[in-house]
Amino acid sequence: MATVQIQKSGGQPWGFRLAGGRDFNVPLQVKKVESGSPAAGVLAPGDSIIGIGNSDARGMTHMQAHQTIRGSGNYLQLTVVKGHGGMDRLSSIKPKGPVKFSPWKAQSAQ
Amino acid sequence: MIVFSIHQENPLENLNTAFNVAEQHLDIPRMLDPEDMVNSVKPDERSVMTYVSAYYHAFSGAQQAETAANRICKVLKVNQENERLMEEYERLASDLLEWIKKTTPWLENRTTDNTLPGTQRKLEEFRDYRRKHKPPKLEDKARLENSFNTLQTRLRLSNRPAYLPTEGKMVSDIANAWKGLELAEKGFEEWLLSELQRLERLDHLAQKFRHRCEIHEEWAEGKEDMLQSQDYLKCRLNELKAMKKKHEAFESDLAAHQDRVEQIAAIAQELNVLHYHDVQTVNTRCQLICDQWDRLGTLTAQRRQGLEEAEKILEKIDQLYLDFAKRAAPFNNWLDGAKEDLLDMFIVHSIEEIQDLVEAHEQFKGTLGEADKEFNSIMNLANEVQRLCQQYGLTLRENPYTTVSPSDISNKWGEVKQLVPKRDRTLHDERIKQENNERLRRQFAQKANIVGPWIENQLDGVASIGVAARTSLEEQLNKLRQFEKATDSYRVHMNELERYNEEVQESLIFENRYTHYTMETLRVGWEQLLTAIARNINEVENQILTRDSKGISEEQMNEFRVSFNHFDKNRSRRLEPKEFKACLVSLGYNIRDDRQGDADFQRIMSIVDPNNSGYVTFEAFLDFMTRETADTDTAEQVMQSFKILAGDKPFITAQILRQELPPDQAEYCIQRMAPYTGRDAVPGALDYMSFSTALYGESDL
Repeated sequence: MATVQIQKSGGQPWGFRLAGGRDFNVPLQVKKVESGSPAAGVLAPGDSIIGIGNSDARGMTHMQAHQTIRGSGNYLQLTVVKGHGGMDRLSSIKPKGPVKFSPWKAQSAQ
Repeated sequence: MIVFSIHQENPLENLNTAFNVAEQHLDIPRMLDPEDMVNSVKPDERSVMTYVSAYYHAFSGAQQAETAANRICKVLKVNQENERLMEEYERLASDLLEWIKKTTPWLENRTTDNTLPGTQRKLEEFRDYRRKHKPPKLEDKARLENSFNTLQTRLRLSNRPAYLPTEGKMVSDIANAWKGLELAEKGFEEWLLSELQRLERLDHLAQKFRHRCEIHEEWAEGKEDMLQSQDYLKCRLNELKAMKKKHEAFESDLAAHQDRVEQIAAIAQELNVLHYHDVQTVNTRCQLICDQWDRLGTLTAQRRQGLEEAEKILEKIDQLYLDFAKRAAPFNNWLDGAKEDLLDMFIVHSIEEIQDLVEAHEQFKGTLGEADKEFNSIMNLANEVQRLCQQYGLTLRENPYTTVSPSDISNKWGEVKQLVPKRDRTLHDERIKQENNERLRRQFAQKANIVGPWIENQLDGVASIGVAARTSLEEQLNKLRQFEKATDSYRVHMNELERYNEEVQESLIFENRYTHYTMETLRVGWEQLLTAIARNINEVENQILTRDSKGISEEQMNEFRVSFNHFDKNRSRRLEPKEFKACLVSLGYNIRDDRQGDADFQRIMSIVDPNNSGYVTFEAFLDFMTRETADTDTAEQVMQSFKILAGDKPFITAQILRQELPPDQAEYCIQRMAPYTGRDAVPGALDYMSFSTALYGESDL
């Protein structure tokens, strides 16, 4: 994990889409980043947000997280786990084609 | 002798007086006139001479006469004198004799009134006699003698015959009488003094008598009452013994007083002998004392007897009391214990327990015969005491050796006897109850032992459905529904079992050795079964839904299911991270054994277990496996749709919504859409973009 800081000017949006939250049973993560926004280059899609400022974001609902970020003014500090480009990374390790159960693979992996 | 008086200054009167006197006394008649004498310068010589010669004649004749008269007078005078002396003598003699006559018997009288004062008065009288009365009489006597002698002398001298006093008044008579007097007088004083002494002594003795009587009477005061009192009938043994000692002391005292009483009697006797004047009173008092003395003696002996008798009886009673105490105490304890046992509230839970109690009770009943005998013996002791007291008129006192009374014992024994049959009944009733309880236990157990295993079988059956390889979801669902139906129709047995359980509980039965199943465990099992069936049905239905919506083939589902179950050893329908990792690998996932691989796995974990519970459910696993690799921006799609409706504007109005959407969905959107606050906003503009992202848990910042 890493701590990142973004600054913006008043009235300007941060430039990223927040998804997930406790109420959606999905971790808080960055979905989209507008190019040229203050978040560009700092945040990337698939990043998990585990902390907003000094608060632990892992138990927050979507709206709680949204409000907390909104309430940080023009300076935002986030604790994130880089997502390696979100599901794109995962798709690289996923087997191609239909899945087939092969227990001996598990044994060799363990 | 002629007596007259003259006044110097009055010659007339003097003359008158003189002429009168002469006429009266000298028989010389008045021949002159005083006035003439006085008034004339020179009185008639002849008349005067005549008158004066009358005087001369008067006196001269008188003188002769006088001489003759003198001579006669002289003789007569002697006679007169003698007669006077004789008279005097007679008189004196008779007076004296009279006095002697009176006094002599008085002196001869040697009696007194026997009283000291009386006798003292007599002494006083004698003293008076000696000092006052006798001396003059002695003088008289002397005078008498002198008188007689003088008289005799005179008579002799005048040649007269001697005087002979009258009869009885002779000198010798007088002398005799006087002698008699003297004789009588003699010894009178000594006699009187000795009388006085005697009387004094008597008086003193009488006083001594009275004094002793007083002391004695004081001592005897109340003794009769004391001796007569029957106080020893009312007292305790120790008090009686003290009374007896007191009586012994009294007896000594009495003996010591014997002397005194005898002395009093002796004094009384002496007083009698000495003719004490008030000997009557003395004798009466002495008699009273002696009578009382006799009575005291009798009473003393009687009291002694009474005391001794009472002592014996009280000692006997004491012994009885002691015996009673020694036996009554243990018996009383036994009674208390028996009562406690007979009233003992018991709680039994089995037939064996009640049987034990019945046996114990029977054993107890066996001891009652002996107890009755003991009871009677003890009561006899108490009764004997009562009888003795009644017989001898003693006051019944409480038993000093124990606080347990005969009535206590009697009452308790009565109670115990009553309680025995009661206990019989109680035990009998309890036995019946216990037998009933057994019946209820068996009833419940019988059914429970069928229902329990049935439930267990069902649970196993349900659990095994998902495990069996290669059954289609539909087939699974079918089987589950069959289980559901079977369970439903089996409910009636659970209800019956609940009824049996109620009966068991109402009878306060707490354990049942005929079955290891309790209603609680069966209920739990039953609910587990229902839950398992419902959950499994739900899961299968979800899986069907997932499969259908994601277009997963049956074979694929099989692979997923088999692989998951393979790693879900404990059939908990969830995997630990290690198991999950192995599962992924077994399905062909390339999770490397390096940092990248760990990072990848962590990423996957954060998706399948977002709440960090530590487990991966089959649903989450399935969800992950069927997730589209391409992240469709469904939020974007919805937003695009709204944009189209809004005519490419960044906001939408309620009007448009109502126009384009069904009414309730339009209202849903209108209510939930926030107002659009962009620069190009119009009144009533609604923000559909934040609404769309919010639907998918997304929001733009």
